[in-house]
Amino acid sequence: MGLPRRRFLALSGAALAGALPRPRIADPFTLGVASGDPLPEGVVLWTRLAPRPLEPAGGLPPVPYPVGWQVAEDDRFTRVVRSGTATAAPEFGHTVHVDVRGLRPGRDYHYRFRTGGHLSPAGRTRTTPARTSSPRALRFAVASCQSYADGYYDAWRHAAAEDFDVVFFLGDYIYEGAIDSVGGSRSDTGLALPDTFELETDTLDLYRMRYALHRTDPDLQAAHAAFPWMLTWDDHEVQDNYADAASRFPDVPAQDFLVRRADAYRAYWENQPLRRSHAPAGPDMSLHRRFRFGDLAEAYLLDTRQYRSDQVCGDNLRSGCADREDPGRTLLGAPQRDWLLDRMGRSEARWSVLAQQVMMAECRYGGPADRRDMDKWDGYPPDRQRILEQAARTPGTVVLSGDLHYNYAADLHLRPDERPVAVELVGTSISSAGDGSDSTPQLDLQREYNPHLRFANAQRGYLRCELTRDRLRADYRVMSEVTRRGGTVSTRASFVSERERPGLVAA
Amino acid sequence: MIALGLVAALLVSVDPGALAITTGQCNGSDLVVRMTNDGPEPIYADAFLEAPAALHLPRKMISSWLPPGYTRSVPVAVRAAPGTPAGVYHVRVSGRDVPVTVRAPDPSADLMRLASRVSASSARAGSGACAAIDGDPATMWNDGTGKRWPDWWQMSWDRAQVVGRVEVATTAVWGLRDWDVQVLGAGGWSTVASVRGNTAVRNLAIFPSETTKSLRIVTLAGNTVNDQSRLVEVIVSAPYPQRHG
Repeated sequence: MGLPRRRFLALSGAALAGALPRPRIADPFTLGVASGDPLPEGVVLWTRLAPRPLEPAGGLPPVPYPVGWQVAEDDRFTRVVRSGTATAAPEFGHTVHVDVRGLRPGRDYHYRFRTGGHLSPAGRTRTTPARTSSPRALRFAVASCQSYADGYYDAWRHAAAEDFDVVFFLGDYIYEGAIDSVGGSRSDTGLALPDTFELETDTLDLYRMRYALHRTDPDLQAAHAAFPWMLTWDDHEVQDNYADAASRFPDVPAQDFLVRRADAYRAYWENQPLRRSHAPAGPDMSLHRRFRFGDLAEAYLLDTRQYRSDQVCGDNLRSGCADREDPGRTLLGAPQRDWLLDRMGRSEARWSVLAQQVMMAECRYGGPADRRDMDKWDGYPPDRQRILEQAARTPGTVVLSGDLHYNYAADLHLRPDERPVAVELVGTSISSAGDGSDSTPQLDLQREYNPHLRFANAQRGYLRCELTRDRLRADYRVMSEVTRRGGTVSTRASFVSERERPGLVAA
Repeated sequence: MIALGLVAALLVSVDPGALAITTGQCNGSDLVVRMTNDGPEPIYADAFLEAPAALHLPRKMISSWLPPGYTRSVPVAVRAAPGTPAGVYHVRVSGRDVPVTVRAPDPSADLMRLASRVSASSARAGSGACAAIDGDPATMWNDGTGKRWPDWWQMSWDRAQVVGRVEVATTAVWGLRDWDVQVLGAGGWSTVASVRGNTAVRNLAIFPSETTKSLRIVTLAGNTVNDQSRLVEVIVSAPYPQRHG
């Protein structure tokens, strides 16, 4: 690294001159680096110090560590444009969040950290275009659901080699269940995970260790280091199918569940590149937010877990269930829903991207029982109706979803016999549910009973999307396998939709 | 129960104040660590556990948000590996001593208590392999895969044992339907009993006695949704079991 490294050390040495001497630690940058929530003038940089990442507290004593950081225009760090020193505090699990400002819009930057003589790997990030600009295109990935125990993250390795302005991650970054010593389906005998990972993840120390385990994966590190991410969560960051203060187990009192939720939200904030304004207060954490890409697109990151009414009719797949039509029930919570409707209504961008968790399109599971999934928007049709009414007045509405571990391409209809008012791209999982298959009997049945589902597929992977001034294109990138290392990626299907005339058409 | 003062608002207590366990992977016992916020403001609090190498604890730290007046109770299993010398060991919970008396199982104990290792193809959190021999009808071993078969559950002994009866308790709903009982011999695993089409909660398989150091149940199918293996209890014994004191 030569000259730039020496210069960096000199800079940091000056910055750290006032710090107290601390016990020397082994390389603490075992979890990589990340960036997120880019703005035209800034971005959040993240890392965590953890010399022994699979131990509680990452193997560090409960003392703060100063961490130098640099942002440069080039990957050799010869043109450093911003630098400073942050604190990795034990009360935040020794994570570092730097809200860098003063950058130029629509530009690539490189960043890295340093502490105790150790230099982190470098990351690359990109600011969003100027608010007044008219970008020609926005390229992004859509990903979700990366159960560590279900497979390897080669999908991330392939995604990291593409060219994205941003990655939308739509939830289930971790799973709360047991992972055995070989990492479940990874069957990685070299892993030797401690049995701490076989405990149900329900306290702050265990949630922190879960994030640490995921972040040790080199492919996930590569994807974080390659692009800025915009993340939202789904249920498994806390507990499967929870709703607001309701555990999936009805006998758990709300008071107890909210303590668990507080621990889960805290670990989530600590371990993602999020601004301090989103840090939780106890069991509450405001995660919904909006990003603008010039006049081309506005992205809304939504939270369909924290404020939702409890699932009706016993959750899961149900037929009938008149209760789901109760207009008093909500998936987004009234404040978030009204914020979204207001912002969509006032948006001057050509596209409105709703990045959220659960499938919005109606999905009949087919057969005589004709069931629907009470955990998805199908369980909350009044909220969906209001979003789609707004979409009908907002050309270029695109819904992005995850959760299901399936790929779907869906037209969104306000009324069944009318033209679609928006389109939905449901992205499959990175690893959850294992290798998968091109289709399943269930998906075949769904296609038969839901003509608005243009495509369904049960492999792993991610979506590669491009928005241009008048057209959306989505490539469904699928993996050959995930339970063994080295899976290959291919494009299983591609669809386009016109802004002025929504509807997914095979490309 | 013993109470310990730590930081201003945090009270840590542990229950019981002393433990007695026998060696063996599934013969441990839980300490319940209670963290109470005694102050007027919410806090994030840590409790720390220390143990000598002879004892195994799955965690050494508990961190949690605690609203004012709230007590969080976290069970922590304390175990001693087979062969651990008998004696009194000491776990420290946020600085306070909890004596743990360890001894080997009585040689006349049942085969479940004598097991040196109990394992499974996979397990869900809170439904590990030991849950199938804990005598508690409210817990079970539950494999970690959905609709993927077969799964297996296995117990092993340091010394060869005579086995001839395997009683399986599964669940009334979504219970186990088909399984094989296998024992390990010089030539590998051999099937000594096959159960097919079971719909009962309890099933007793009796077979010509075998002398073995490992026995496993290979699960092949479940009832109704056919999704997971559910072993509520497994009782393995010689053909004519002795009474155990």
